[in-house]
Amino acid sequence: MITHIRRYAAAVAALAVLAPVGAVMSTVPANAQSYVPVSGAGSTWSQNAVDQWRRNVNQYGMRIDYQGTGSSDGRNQFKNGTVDFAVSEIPYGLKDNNTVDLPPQRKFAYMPIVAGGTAFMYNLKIGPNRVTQLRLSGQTIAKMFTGVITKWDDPAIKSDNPGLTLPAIRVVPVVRSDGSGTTAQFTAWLAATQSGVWNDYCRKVGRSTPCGQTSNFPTVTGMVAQSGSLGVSGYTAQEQSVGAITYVEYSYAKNAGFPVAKLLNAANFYVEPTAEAVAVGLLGAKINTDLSQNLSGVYASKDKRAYPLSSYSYMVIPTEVSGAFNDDKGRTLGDFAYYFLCQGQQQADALGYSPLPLNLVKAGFDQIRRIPGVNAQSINISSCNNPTFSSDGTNTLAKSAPQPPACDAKGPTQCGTQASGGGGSSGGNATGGTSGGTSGGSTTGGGTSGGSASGGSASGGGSTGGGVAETIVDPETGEIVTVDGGEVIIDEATGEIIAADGGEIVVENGGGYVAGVPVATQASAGWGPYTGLLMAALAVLLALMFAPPIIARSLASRRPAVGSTGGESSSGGVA
Amino acid sequence: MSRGLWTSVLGSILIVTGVGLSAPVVTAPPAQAVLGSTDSEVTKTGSGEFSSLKVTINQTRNLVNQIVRISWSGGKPTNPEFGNLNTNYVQIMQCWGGTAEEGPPREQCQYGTQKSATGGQNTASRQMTTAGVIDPLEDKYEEYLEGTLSFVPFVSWDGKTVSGRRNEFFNINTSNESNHNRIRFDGSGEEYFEVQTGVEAPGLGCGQVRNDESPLCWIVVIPRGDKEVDGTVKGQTFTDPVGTSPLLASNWINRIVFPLEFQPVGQACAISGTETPLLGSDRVIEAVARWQPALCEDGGGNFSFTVLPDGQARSLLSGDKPGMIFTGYGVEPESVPSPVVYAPVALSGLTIAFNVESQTSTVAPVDVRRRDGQRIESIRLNQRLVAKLLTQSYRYDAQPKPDRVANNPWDLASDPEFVKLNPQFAELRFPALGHMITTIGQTDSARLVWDWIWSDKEAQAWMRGKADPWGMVINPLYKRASYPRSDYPRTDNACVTFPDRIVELCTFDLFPYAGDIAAAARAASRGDTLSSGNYDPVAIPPGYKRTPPQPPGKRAMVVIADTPLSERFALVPAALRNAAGEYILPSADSLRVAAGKAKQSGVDGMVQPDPGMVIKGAYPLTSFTYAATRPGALNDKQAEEYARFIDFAVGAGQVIGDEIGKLPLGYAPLTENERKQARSAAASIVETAGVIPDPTPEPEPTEPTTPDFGSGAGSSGSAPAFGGGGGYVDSGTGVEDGEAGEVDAADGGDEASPEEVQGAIDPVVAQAAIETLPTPAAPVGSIRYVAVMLLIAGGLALFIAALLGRAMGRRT
Repeated sequence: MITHIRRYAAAVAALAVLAPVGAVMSTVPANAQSYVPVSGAGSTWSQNAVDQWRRNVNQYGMRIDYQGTGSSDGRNQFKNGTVDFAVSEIPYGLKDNNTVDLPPQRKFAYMPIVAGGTAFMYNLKIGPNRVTQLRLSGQTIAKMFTGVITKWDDPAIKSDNPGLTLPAIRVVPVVRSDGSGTTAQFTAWLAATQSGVWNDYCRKVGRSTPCGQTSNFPTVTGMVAQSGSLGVSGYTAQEQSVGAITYVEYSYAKNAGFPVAKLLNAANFYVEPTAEAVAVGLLGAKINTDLSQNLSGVYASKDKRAYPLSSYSYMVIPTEVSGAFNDDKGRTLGDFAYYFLCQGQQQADALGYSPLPLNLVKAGFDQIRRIPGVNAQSINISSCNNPTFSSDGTNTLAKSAPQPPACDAKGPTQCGTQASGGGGSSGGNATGGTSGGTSGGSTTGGGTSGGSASGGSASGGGSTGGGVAETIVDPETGEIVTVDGGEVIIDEATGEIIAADGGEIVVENGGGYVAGVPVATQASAGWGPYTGLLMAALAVLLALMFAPPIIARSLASRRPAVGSTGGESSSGGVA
Repeated sequence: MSRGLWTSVLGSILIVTGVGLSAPVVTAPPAQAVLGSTDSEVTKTGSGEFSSLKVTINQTRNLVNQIVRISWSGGKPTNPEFGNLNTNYVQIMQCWGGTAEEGPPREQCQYGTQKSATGGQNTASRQMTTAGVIDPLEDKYEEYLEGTLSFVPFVSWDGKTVSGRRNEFFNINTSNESNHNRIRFDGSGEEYFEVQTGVEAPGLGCGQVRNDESPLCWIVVIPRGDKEVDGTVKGQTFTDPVGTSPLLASNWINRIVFPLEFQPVGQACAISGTETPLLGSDRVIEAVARWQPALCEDGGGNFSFTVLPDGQARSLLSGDKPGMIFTGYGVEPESVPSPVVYAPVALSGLTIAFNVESQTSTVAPVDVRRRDGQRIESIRLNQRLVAKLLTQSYRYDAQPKPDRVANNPWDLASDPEFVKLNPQFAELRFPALGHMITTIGQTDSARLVWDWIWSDKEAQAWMRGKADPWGMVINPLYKRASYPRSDYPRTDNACVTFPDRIVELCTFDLFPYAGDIAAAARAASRGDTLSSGNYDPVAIPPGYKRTPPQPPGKRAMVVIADTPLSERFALVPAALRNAAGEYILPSADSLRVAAGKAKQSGVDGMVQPDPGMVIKGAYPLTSFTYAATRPGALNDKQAEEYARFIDFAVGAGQVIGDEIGKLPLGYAPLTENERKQARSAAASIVETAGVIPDPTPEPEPTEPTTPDFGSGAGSSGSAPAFGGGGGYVDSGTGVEDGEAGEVDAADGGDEASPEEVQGAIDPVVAQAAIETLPTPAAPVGSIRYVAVMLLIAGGLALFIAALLGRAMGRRT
């Protein structure tokens, strides 16, 4: 028997297949009906969580399909009946730039699914060092995203960050180009807390005021618009995107290994969107009867630990059989929802979300029970393994949330910088290679993002530069163009690779900025410092051989252009 | 290529475990076919005008949710030869019920969701009425009337009848129907068809049992000729397709039916109690998904799996809730409060995976054009070609504004280096085969790819700026990046507003990241570029929407995936050049050859193959995935669950098979030694659960020491194998760290000590810098080099000044 066994025999969905019919497992549930596939679409804000849940419920025999096409598209698809559920950060019926998003004809309900912080992921370097401790007030952020603050060395940013010597590079706000619930979250917060700045901006771009929240961020020259959460986080994470800042669910910044700004809360502390900080923030949320959220109490929370831009995402679920939605799908969707409101919330923290608290889970249960065909008796709070639940009804996570360190208070100290008041400067004694040093003495969750975010080379700041790297933004493309005379000229004139490389890097890293940030210790590069030194020594040798005659000649013909830019450089002393 | 490639090393394991595998060991892989024949292969012949058509399905029994290969010969060639399908093609669907003699009724077929638009008006629909065409054999027009139109209703396995355009049982996203399949000039063709169990297709119920009965299940193939149901001959002009649904009586009568036998769909785990968390690398997604439902058997608890980038997962080990993570590399013993235990659980390969169907321009020779739509099943890549794909060096990959690479080839298929290596591409033209979908974040997989590229002299020289023999150069924006690294940068980004539009189109709109390699592999299999490049001017507000998937026959996808995902999604992995200069396909053997020479990775008990080592027959992108946890932070119950997981994974979980609990194709089973190591790790997790060793004073490290593989967990001062500080141990972003790799003088600058900074700049600022900077890894070391570095710095400054001056002089 020739059996060229099929190469692709792996099950397409890697599923439950047991050999003989008789081999029944001991874990057969009482209602051992099989599930049917259910599909949804919508938010990318919560997609990282939804994707993990649907992967895990494979073992329970469920096939959940989800397309992260943005909240606006998800609501539209649900309205058109092409999906069984949608995920969105905002409800139907809101007026957006004079257009009302009408609710669907079919009956539906909102169910909260996961909480999280809309984070401000940024890409900022001071010299060669990645900034990981940036702090921003709400007003500063509003001004950065509305073109009022255009440079990172703006006094407003400086006053938030007394410990950083910020570079004079452009602020490049990166916003969503697609209809987005994240944008809606962000602009709702802008409208509620920074209405002056926000309305001025709306006026400037020709929207009617007060313009409230919108799913489509109005852009102006100098902004970059990208599609989807992976689009904005991916763009911001690129090396050439220094100066960029975007709003995105914290999970995306964590996945990209990038820091997020600590946001000033109403208690005058700068806080990161950790699971605990979001949980504390959401203690201030008021739940409307339809379970849509009133977040004004979150924005204004006086708790020192609260992250102000905390919110949660909803699933839009059908509450009647209609179109392609039937009882079997309802039973599957109900069990899936029960799973992710309880056990699934255990994954939230590691992913960069915050588990939903008891009140929202209970409210969610009430909604699940409205799904036709749902297996109601399994919706049971006592067997719900949600990490926030406690015996006394308080939110475990919020209760155990640590107080922010004193250096995170508004004022002249700043964690992890020279102005840290002693807290942050000692973190760097980790042995070579790990990034343990980045979070300094901070006792907040900073280590989780800061720690993985950096890992850069140890540096004393550029000291050798021959020119200042002036970063400008191409007004047409929004692209960041680094104009560093050294590179361009060397490339054109000589084409010498070694020389060009050397030139590029010196110019790039040796600019006039001086570190005011903690950095990781010498990172684990594939090459140790010795290789570099050897190469450097070679470069010196070459330089000593060739430089004097060349420089003599050039001096004779013309003062080098480097003088005009290099003069500004604080590093010219060596030369 | 066949499953034999994954099972051939199984022999020894089978003996060890005593678990039999029904499949005989394959001696020679089949020549061309990607899915070889099985003992349940069936060939059937058409009837009437299709009596010369022979259709073969490679496997019809023992099915799970999987891909089968359906091929045909002896058909009339599709008209026209290229483009839309007007006449003479094949339609395929899965059905249930009926009788063994007659096959299924048309009302019980999963079909008609308009999945493909490359045929006539209703050829992908259940709609019976088509622009006044009347089928003389049809007697149900009236009976099946819905409003003003008639639709063939669908009857589900559980007896429900639904009618109309849309139904609750299947839709365009879930249906496996294959609407329009080309018959090539020589009368042949093939399709890779997904067969679905009742879990995926509840309307069909295949493999499910109710009242001790399972439904009969079928694949139905309906050949279409050039006659419409009313006898009109179609295809007379370029826009004259047959337009009726295959479910119409006169079309249905030509059906060829294949009975299928499914394995019974097993009972899934129950949702109850708690899940024990597993977190980390996407390299074990397939294995964990297969193991999860087996681990809950006999009252065992459930496991959850949260996929995180490796670096992020490793950072959990130092926290108080380490869970158990999957990772390629370890963490430094000093960076965690108590020892970490590592257990090898999987050996697999990263793949550069293709889903490419032959495409041509109108000027191609006819014999080449006739291969249009045929899957290309053999592709070779070297390190430099992969470097090109990862650096936006093809013009397509730098869209919409590829100015920096204006003189480079458009895509892979137009790169002479690629064509020389893959002559079958010589006459082919694709809209675009120049972008490889990658993932965001720091992963050990990315590190492996860059290590492989960087280990090749030619590829490295090219990355440093040297043109390839045909003059193609790296996108200059990538020349300065640091390598190797552990992410896939996308550096050349631009936005363009086209004249008639009000919204910008940006590079990231066209080429976004995938969330993980499973998402990338799925996208490739569907022809989904993940792009948002379709301008919708009437939307409010106008904007770019998701680009629809490439239609069958016109796919051109390349992604970074891994061997199990390539198997699951039927992608074609490229044969990659190893350090010995051979082009090697991933297989259990070639992975094993590479793994046999694995080196210590810097953490006790962890080895990884080195892609730069010359090993004949080794697949270069081979790596182990380890389960890792910190028992000191676990309670007894957690420790026992993790030990149970590891014992299962390296026991029953190492036997290749399709059933739950088995090892998916694409992984190479672990050797007995590796399994022993894993089992002893499992035992030590249980033994040391909750044990925190006495803190011992840690000697202050002075500078990176030479590798010391002998040091055990808990010891300090050992620096791992890959130089620098932490070596391969958790390496942070890698954004800066490799500048050393790119060379040179920059290092002198970077490592300048605080003292030097002080001398050079504003003293106040400098003072700040001193206080701010954490202690460098090698404080003594760098001070020692101050003089050298000052020299270097000075020399360089001079050198640059000179060059600048000269160049400026030329300009003026």
